[in-house]
Amino acid sequence: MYGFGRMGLTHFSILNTLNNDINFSIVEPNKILRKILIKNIDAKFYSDDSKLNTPYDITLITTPPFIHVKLLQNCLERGDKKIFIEKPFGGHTNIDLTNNLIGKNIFIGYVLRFNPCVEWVKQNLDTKKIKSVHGQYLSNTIEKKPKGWRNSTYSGVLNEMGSHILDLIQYLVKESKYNLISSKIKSVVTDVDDIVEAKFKTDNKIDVSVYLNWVKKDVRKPIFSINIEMIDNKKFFIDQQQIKIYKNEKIVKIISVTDLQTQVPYYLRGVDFTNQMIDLIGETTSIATVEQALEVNNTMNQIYNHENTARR
Amino acid sequence: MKILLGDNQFFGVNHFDLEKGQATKLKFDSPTKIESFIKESLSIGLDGFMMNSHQIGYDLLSTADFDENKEIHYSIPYAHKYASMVNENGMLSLLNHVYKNSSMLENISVGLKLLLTKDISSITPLAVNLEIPSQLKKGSYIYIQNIMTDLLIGMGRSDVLIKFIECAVKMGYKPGIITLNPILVDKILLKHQNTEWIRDLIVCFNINKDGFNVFPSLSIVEKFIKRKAKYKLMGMSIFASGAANIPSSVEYIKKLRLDYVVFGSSKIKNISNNLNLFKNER
Repeated sequence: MYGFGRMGLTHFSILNTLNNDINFSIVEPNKILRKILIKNIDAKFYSDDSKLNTPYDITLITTPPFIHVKLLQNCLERGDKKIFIEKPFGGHTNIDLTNNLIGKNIFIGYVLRFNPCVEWVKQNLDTKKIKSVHGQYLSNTIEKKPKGWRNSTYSGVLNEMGSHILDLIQYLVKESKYNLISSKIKSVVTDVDDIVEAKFKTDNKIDVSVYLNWVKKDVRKPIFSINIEMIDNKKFFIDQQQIKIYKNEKIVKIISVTDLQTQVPYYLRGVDFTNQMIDLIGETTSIATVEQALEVNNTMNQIYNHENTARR
Repeated sequence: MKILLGDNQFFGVNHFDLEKGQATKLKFDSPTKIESFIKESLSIGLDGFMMNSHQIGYDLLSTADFDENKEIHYSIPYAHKYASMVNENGMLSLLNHVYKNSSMLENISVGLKLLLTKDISSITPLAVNLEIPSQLKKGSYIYIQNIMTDLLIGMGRSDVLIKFIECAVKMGYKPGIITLNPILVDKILLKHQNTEWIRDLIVCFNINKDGFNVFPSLSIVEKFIKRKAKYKLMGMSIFASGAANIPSSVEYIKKLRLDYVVFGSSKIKNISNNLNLFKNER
């Protein structure tokens, strides 16, 4: 594992409980944190990967995004078999699918794919009938101006949360090319983007819009939602907890997360986090691929670089 | 079986319906409204209430007087506060927060211990002290929240959980553990069956007829309950966050013969109705 921040700790705890036989090697450059971790976590700790030459079965890169690409190259050179990188892989500026990434087992941590409601929609949505999609993310994650990289190009609501929503839209709609029509970016607490709005049209003429806000004071827990409008007057509303299906503006079915039985051997921050790790150490059928993640980066890059993006 | 008022409604938590959760939060927008709601719930027959160490909960238990005969079950820490801290300033900001907010004497003694051992369990007393209002009635229950319990289990640091229990007991409180992994907690407690605190300990976990968020599975947790542990068992999420049919849920829960159940609602009428269902064959 590279990096032992909040996400590193989460994945470590899940993997450690799913399989008692995993031997962990952890690269954590922060000296103080490393000294504390050595005495508290059953793993080998290193300040860098210069002495790690034997290929690993699974590598997790849970560092800030600006170092993802460099560390991935180290993993590929070493011959690691499966590589998992936290989202957004390398941030919005990382958009090129280089030859050495093609066909490799490289996966990106878009965990919302493993939400039971999302999984249900994925299995029951007729993607040929989609007319428009709206994705939304609301939270009160940032209350004070953050320090370090979280207040820089690699952070912001679009990189950190919007990438999840864009991946979900891509995953459900099965379209990867999004052509930006308009966008607005606003800084409220951080020096980067705290509120982002954008509209796109896909190559197949599906209207897509997103609204992201991580400084919304009245929200206690992060909320994401996806609205999908179909050409036959059907609509789907999806959030973490339920799916509402409308026909001609009337609700015809509500499916709650409580109806979607999901059992996991160990629960930490949601069944989605555990199921993501189960998929990673298993068949890797639902986890986001590097190709899909680069498409998300491409869409984010369009928003940040769009000449008509209104910045307030 | 004792019945407690839960606190999710005060903080806008509704695992079934996000919009409903938000609306409920608005209903309890001041500590006075929360206090009077708790008092009214206790007056109709609930045995006590649960409260999280969210700033509102902390302030409430620092100032309000509740009926001496009712039980207070206080859970720490308020996880979202610490999650924001980590998001904004990184992992080490947690240690900084604990030290900055503790007394100098405690800092010196615990700081030396941490310096010598680098063992995070040594800061447990400081962290616990920081989260508990000094006015909290002795003999009340202090719980460690599931996000901490389950993280410590995953980290392989169940010893910190035991340290927490010992710490709560030493401070004159009864210990509680909230978890979504009750089977894993049970395994840890097997080694501590002969301790003085085991019969006071409450382990609180999800249980409902529909098996919603009951881990690893409903059948395994049912077997665990039937086995009758030495410690007390408390059921939470008993109505599957509002998704379940209430009368049949109560019937199901009553058959399990738990020591405690906790449920919340934003309406006194609902609490009264649920209480009556429980009391019918209590």
